[in-house]
Amino acid sequence: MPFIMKRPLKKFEYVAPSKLEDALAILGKLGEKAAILAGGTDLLVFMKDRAIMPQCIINIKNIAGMDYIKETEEGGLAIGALTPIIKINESKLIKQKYPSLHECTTKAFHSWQIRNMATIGGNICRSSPAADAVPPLMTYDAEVKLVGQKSERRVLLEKFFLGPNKNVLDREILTEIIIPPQKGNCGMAFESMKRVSVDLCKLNCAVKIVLEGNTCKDIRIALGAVAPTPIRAKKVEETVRDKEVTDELIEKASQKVVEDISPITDARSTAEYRKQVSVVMVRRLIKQAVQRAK
Amino acid sequence: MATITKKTVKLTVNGVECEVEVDVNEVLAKVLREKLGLTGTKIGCESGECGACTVLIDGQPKLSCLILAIECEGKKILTVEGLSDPETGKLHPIQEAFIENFGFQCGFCTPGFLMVTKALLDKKTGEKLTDEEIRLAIAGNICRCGDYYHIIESIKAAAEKMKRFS
Repeated sequence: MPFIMKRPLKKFEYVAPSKLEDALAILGKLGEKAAILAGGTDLLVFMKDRAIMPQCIINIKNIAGMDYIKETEEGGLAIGALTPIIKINESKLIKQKYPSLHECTTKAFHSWQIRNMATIGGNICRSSPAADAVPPLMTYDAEVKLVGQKSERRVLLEKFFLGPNKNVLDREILTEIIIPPQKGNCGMAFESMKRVSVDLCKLNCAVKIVLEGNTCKDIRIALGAVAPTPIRAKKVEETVRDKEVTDELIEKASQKVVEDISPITDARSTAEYRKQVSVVMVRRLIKQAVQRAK
Repeated sequence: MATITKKTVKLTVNGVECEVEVDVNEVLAKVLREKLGLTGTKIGCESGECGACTVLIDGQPKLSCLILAIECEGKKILTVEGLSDPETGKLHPIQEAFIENFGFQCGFCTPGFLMVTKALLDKKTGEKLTDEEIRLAIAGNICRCGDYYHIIESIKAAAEKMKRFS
């Protein structure tokens, strides 16, 4: 996109409720005309570009009790939607048990200022195909809790996205990300590819492998920016699952990623390049995850 | 709950409490520059890529072009004007280090770099900073003159100075 000066924000109405119920009541009433403000690092840019022009901004940052990282009773993890990326980055628990999620906060959210402002819930709800926090969470089979005025449901993160910038939210607010316990001998890895550190990625990828000896008991591979939504590379997963992991197998499996993805050419990369580099990325990350599981 | 379009917000800017009437669609950078006269904070890309508008909000470096002024109600804001001694006007050791080490050319990005440096050195008191830590801390700031080498040297010098002065 050519460089143009950003315009000031268009006029809108503003409300900053301190209770979730109040936020939901306003959202229920206004629906599409309202936008939820959390970190604001994407929303305000969109608004300056006139990509969206909400009539009302609902700032949910004053709602208490949505900023936490805690272990669940089952041994998994629950992350409040308003948890800033910096907290995830600094969490020893996440660094130790969910290294690929930690890696995404250092390799992808490179700007300290953005890490301080952006929230994990915002990264998911923005529903960019290139969202960097999503692939690691998808490999953990994470779910999101969506609360509406009269409803509450849990949706598998994989099923949350409908297309670029589109998701299943229907006058609801994402309040929590729930990660189930990761069983077995797990190895995890994440990488985000871009030109300079603060860019959106050309593509990103996360791998989680469960090994028993040298046999792959389970594997999850998720990629971003290579399809209309973040996706799982299921063809690659099938090729590796329940087999003895060798270099030849990884080589063969990683070639299959081109059947899983449907990249486009845009400002950041070409479809052809994304296809080629996806193969390399998947191969490298499976190898790295295997190394870490051993 | 009623929605609003205007509000008088209380901010503590550089240690001074102030009340300022803001429209809800005004970003903090604009209020600092146009309503409070603090033009040290620069507006660059306005989309979170350049870091020129960095200020410290409750001690954390944040982008004042991507934060609504109304969101800052009750918060403590430190801008580049708040670095020097308010009584004597003596420059902060970080500013001195940038001058002594040629840590800028055109100077447009400098307020952002100074504020990130302040936050970094506040966080890492008494510990030796590695090059890697400095590079990570300034990853969100762009210097179009490309003077990164001298900026990093300046930050190292500032760390030395502040150990000496604290």
